[in-house]
Amino acid sequence: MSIRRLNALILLHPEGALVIVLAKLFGGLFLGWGIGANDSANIFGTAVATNSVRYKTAVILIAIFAIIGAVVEGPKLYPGYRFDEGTTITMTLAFVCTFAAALTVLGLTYLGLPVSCSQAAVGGLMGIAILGSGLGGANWVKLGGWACCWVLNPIGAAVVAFLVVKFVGALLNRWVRRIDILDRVYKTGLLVFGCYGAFTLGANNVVVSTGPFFQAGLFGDPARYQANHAALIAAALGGASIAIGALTYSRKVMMTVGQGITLLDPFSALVAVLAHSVAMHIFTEFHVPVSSSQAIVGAVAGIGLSKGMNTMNSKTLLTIFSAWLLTPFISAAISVAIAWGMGMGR
Amino acid sequence: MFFDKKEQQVKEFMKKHLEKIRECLALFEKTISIYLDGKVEEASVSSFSVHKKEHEADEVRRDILAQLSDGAFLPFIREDYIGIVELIDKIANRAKTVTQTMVIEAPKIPQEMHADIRTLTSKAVMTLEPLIQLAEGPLLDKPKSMALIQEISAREQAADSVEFKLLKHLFQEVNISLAEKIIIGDLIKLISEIADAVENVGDKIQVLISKQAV
Amino acid sequence: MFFDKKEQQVKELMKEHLGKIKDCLTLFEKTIGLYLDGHLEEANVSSFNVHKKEHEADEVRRDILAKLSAGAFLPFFREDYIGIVEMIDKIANRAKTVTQTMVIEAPKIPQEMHADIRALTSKAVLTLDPLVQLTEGPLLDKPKSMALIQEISTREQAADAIEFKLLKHLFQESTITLAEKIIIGDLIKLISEIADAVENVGDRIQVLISKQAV
Repeated sequence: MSIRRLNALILLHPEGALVIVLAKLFGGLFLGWGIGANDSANIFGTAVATNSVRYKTAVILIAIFAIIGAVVEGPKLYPGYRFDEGTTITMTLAFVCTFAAALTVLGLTYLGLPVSCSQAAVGGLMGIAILGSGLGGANWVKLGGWACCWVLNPIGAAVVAFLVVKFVGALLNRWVRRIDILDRVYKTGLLVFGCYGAFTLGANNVVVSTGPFFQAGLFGDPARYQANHAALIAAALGGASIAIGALTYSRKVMMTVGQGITLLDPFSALVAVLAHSVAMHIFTEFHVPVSSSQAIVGAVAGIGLSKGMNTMNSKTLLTIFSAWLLTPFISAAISVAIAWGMGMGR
Repeated sequence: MFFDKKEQQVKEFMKKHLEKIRECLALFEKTISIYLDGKVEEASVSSFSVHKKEHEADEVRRDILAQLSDGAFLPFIREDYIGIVELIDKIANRAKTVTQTMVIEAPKIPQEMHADIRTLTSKAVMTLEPLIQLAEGPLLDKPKSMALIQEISAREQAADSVEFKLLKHLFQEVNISLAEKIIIGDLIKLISEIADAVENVGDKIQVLISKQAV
Repeated sequence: MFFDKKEQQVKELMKEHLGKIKDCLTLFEKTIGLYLDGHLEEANVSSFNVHKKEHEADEVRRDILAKLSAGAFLPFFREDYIGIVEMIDKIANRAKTVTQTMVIEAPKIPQEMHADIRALTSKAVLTLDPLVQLTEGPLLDKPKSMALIQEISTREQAADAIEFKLLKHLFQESTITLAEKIIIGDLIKLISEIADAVENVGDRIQVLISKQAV
């Protein structure tokens, strides 16, 4: 797709000028921005907090590779990003569900509670599905399936991390016997796996930002032949919002998350990012958005386990459970409440 | 668990290491007692057994280091374990230095100081006990570990106050030449340093504990 | 390669640093030789050369630290490099302390001890060789490094044995005053501590090596 066509699609859209489009997209772009701001830390946090990679380098790489991931793999997730097959998602509903998710993220963050942007977004989406099709019409089976993926995500990351430490670790111990070479391997690895991490973050999570608007037909009729192009534009915009989040607001989280897991040496740090990214990548292939933060927590636990250490305390478990249960639930409730307030209830 | 064999081995070795140190300090206390009893020849033999035990501890130390360098624990933790093992080993080194210095320099220690020197020695040796408990108990139980580290510190201070009393008496009241005072004073300081050596281990363990609190 | 220029520079500088330390220890041995030969004036001058060389080493140390803080190596390894360089530098410091103490206190060392003091000095200086090898092979193949660290330890023990013999002779057989014994004994201990200083570097390198395992 040429840039001109992309411009044309956005600017000449029947609903009006770019400004209006962006305004309607606000909730979605905010979610993308939040993902960039919060989840960059999962990818480069340890490396930046331990001064192994410069902050600037890290965020620029995240920005670039999140957009590439969003554009290359992200569009796959767009067609399936809805919980009510029968009804129509309008622009207003798309706005409501992303706005509700954004409010949830802001509110929980303000209260100091851990939050997953992607799960908040999915909660909001479920909210409008219930609103549109009623409790019976929403696709609970699909939601159940996604929730299973959310459970499997940290577990999968833990298993991958455990195996990588055991097997790749053994090979590395045998082959690399000099500190200076190891130093170079680590430096390169932190950058390469970081880029891969950003790629999978963009690929897996981009849908939560512009997905509902894609369903609402903002980028073209999702049911028609131009669906691929529409998803591509939606993913490019969402990817850009993630990139901007990383570039503008990721420093603080990166430092705190990174310092929270300074137990990690360079090898563990890159294993953690790799395992996180493999998990994210696998769920991308299943077209299910999952939480980057939970993947990294799982990966760290897997590494700890391989060394006979327990890195999971009650606080991290609380983190995961509140994100699993609380976030989508609150987001769905807010989503329904807003829509009701706007007189859209059935 | 099956996948932390190396880590379990390190912990086993560390117990063994501490056991050697404990034996070394028992021999150390015995040697000083024999010397104070005036049996210089026997003290010399006993001092050699301290040396031998120190050497045995050293060998266990090397086993631990080999296991650690082989990848037991995560590197950041590993580093602390190495530090701890080195510091534990230094306890035996110091014991050896004391008995060796004593039998080499063979100072005539005034009779009235004997009781306090025995006390100092026993107080210094007693600092090891909470350390052993610390290593045996789970390091992850933070409050218990902190209490034991605190206990080491308290015992070290008890040894310190005996040292202070001894040195004050030695330099201010005893009627021997200054050179002799220096020799005996240095010996007293060396004995007291054993308690410091144990305390150093406690401090290092505290670092490890603080790191494990993820 | 272009992307590890800083690391290469650190390695070059570390070689230069150890070169200075080696020169310093050579001058140190020469100074002690001159002193024992009774050439006090020359020993004095030579002692000043030790001091000068120690200063040169210190400047290289500063260059290394500057390179390290400019970002050579990952911080994970960097702190070890800093620790190692600091400890290497201490070797020269101790050498300076010995020769300075010797020319200042100018003790009359009994003739019959001269040979052993020369032997002790040379054994202490000899501990440096395996350390130089350790850092020339670029830090390093693990088993080889462990063997070299062990070799340093063995050489340190050889120095220790002579120290023990010397002190025993000094305190038990020599007929000089106790004050003189203390002065000479301290000097002997200081010489022996050079071997300890080298061994400490070995221990520090052990930590770095252990971090290599994942």
